[in-house]
Amino acid sequence: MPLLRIEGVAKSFGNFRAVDKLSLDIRAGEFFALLGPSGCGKTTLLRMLAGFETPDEGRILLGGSDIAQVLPHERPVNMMFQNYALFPHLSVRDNIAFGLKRAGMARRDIATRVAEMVALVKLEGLEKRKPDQLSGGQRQRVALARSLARRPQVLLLDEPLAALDKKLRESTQGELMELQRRLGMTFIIVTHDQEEAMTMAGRIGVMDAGRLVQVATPRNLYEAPASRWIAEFVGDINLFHGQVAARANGRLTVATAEAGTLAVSELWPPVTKDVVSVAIRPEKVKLSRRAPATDEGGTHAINRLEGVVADVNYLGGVTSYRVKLETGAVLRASMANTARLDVDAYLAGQRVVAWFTADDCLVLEQ
Amino acid sequence: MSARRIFARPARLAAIAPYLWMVLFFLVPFGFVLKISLSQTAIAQPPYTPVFDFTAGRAALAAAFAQLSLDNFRLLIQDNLYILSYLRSLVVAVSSTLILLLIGYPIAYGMARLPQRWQGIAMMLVIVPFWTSFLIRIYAWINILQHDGLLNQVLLALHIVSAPVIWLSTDSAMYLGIVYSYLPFMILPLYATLSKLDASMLEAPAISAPRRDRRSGW
Amino acid sequence: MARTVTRLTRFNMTSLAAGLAFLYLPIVILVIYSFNASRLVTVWGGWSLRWYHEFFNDRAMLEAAWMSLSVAAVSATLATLLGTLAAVGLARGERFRGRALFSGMLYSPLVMPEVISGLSLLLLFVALNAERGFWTVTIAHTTLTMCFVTVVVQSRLSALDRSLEEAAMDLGCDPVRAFLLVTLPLIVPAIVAGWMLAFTLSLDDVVIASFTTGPGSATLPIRIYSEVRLGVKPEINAICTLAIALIAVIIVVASFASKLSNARGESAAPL
Ligand SMILES: Nc1ncnc2c1ncn2[C@@H]1O[C@H](COP(=O)(O)OP(=O)(O)OP(=O)(O)O)[C@@H](O)[C@H]1O
Ligand SMILES: [Mg+2]
Repeated sequence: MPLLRIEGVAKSFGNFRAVDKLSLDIRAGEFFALLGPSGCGKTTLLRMLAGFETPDEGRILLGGSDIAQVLPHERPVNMMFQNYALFPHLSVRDNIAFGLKRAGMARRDIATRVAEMVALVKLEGLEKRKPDQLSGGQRQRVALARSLARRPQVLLLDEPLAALDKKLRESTQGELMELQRRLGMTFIIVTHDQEEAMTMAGRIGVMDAGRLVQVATPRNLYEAPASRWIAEFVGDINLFHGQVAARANGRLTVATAEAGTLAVSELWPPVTKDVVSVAIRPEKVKLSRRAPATDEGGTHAINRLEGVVADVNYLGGVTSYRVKLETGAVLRASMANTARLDVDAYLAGQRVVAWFTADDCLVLEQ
Repeated sequence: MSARRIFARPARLAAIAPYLWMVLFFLVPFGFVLKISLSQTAIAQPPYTPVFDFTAGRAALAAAFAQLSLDNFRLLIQDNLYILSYLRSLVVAVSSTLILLLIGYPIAYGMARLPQRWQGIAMMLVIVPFWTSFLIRIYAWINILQHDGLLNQVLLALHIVSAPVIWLSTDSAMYLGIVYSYLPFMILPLYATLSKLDASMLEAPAISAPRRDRRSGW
Repeated sequence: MARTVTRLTRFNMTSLAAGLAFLYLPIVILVIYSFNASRLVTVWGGWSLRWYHEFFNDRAMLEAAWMSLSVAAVSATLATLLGTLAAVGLARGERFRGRALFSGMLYSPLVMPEVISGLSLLLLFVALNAERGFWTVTIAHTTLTMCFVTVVVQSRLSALDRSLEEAAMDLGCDPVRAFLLVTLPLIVPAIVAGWMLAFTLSLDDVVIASFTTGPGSATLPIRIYSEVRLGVKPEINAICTLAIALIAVIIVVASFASKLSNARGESAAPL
């Protein structure tokens, strides 16, 4: 039995369906991330879990009992609000202690817990400040500490780290994960940042227009997206549309207009349609000056595309290239900068061969 | 149920007391006035006779409603005296609004052009007289405008007039009183609008002026 | 062109200064005259507290002043209580039956001539056979001023971020506690402003009080009004000066109190 079971939950605002018959199981102690474009219903889903909205249909089971009608203050669920919702008339300390006092905790325990929370989010020395005397990032940390303080069974976080700078965000991510493991709490986090979702979450749910379109581990989501839309939404990808020309031994041959004939390994479940897209992530595209030897029969069959480097973007850890193919289509490739000196780099205008194996390609139905 | 609905129930309970208060002390008395304005002159002998007999019951109430008439309103329309005084009120209202605009606009404009930190102080200065009693503010003018008041003394001393002028109970005094009392009400909304208008918009002609002119300013 | 801007500015300053002088001069003159030893307004007889002395020995005036102050204090407090409750109902009650009537009743007195408010309440009090005096005036003033309080508090409530109340509920408050612990502290400035508005409106009123008070219990404005019609008395200058001083003190105390209440939240946690 999962800790939290969402069963066919739907919520409409007027005629607009914000959440549409959504089902999801969340296990105790899980770190789950919700990813999706703006307005797809992530906040609405969290608000239903917190009790601020009642679903029009469906059930929400927490530990086996339906909580859809339980009022927010009676749920063992806490939420960190997207806009923080800090109490402006209370100090940092009183904001964090607010929920503990309502729970009837002893004074001394409250002081200990607050101190622990303040240390966790690194706000030492700011306990007496009011929210309007804090920076955006500091406010966010107060909101985080306040929602964590009650140690709820389920903690809902609505874009908790959006206002932090990269460094602080990364260290807070680490601390959140560590805390979640240590306390055995269940976290559901909403984020716009795919890297953040991949770093922190055990599983990721991708939402689109009120529906959950895929739930998978970060790796599966990235390497085996369930649809073209997801493939494009999560990370960068090259897509070529075409027709299945032949199938043999788990291998498809796809005739594309933009990249010629491509060899693709077939995944499970096999595609049934003939009109498909071939997808390849940029980092799986290799560039070289000369074409490598082909291997027509083996599983590592190589797709080769010739072109001219149109664009070079040095990004520190990687360099990304845009290669203009002979058909006029653009193929993106990225290569890790493994050496300090640019022995591997290509220059704009240079002729290159871009190649990738059949196993690195995905075939997606339209 | 949304969070708003959870809040709505106790909020509506909170409204019960003021609701009853307003029904008892606004709606019911207002009904009395309406009743009188609709009844025959003979019935309306306010203020010393009850208008409704609470003990009379429903039938009597219905009978009372049947007697309601629009005669008084007809009188209002037919009698020239009422119409003339309405017209006069209207003329006074329109012309004092124009005077208020003429006086209030430069003040509000001046406030909006002040340095930021002075604007708050200027606004306080405009608001404070609003908090003092209307009666006191009018009374303060009586001190000045009365027969042997300050204004006449000053005018006599400067030989502008040879005998005291009667100011009180004149049209000018009335306009003065109206303008004085309502000036803050004119300034504040004007100021609010003007200060939102970027000051740079008003200076735009200065910036786009010919170069030669601007250099000569240096 | 640049010079035009400065000249404009000088014009601004002059008009602003003239405007403020226009607003303040009569009041300043009134205050100065209240310290004039001479009975005649024409003559400056030197500084003196004579008229203040006279006022404090004028039983009728003092009684009227006391009546006005107590009516203002009681009605402002009642109006603040009722007006705040009404504002909560309107701002947080969502849609309910009778809402249109309720807001209609609360907004009409704002635009209705005082004569009609006064007259209608007089008719009610006569119908109820109520003895007219302190309580009838207080009820009349409460009815009028609670509408102002409602408007002030309601606008503050509507501007307040609703997610604060949700956060309070999320952290274990039922709706009533969420209101008391989070919403109420945040609307205190509006409530204080509402009280002050109600208090000064009550102190100010002549018309409604004339309709609703009985013989022998005149309020201060009624007395001042009847005295002024008989001609200017220097004693009135002294009373007005005291009233201005009182209002000034209230404004200072109120702004101080709202600052204090802001600062207090820092350590003393509400329980
Ligand atoms: N109270 C409401 N009334 C009407 N429409 C609403 C309400 N709340 C949300 N919506 C609509 O429902 C949709 C989903 O909103 P939601 O806040 O859940 O999006 P989101 O996925 O959290 O977006 P974001 O990433 O921008 O925060 C939006 O189109 C929004 O306009
Ligand atoms: Mg959102």
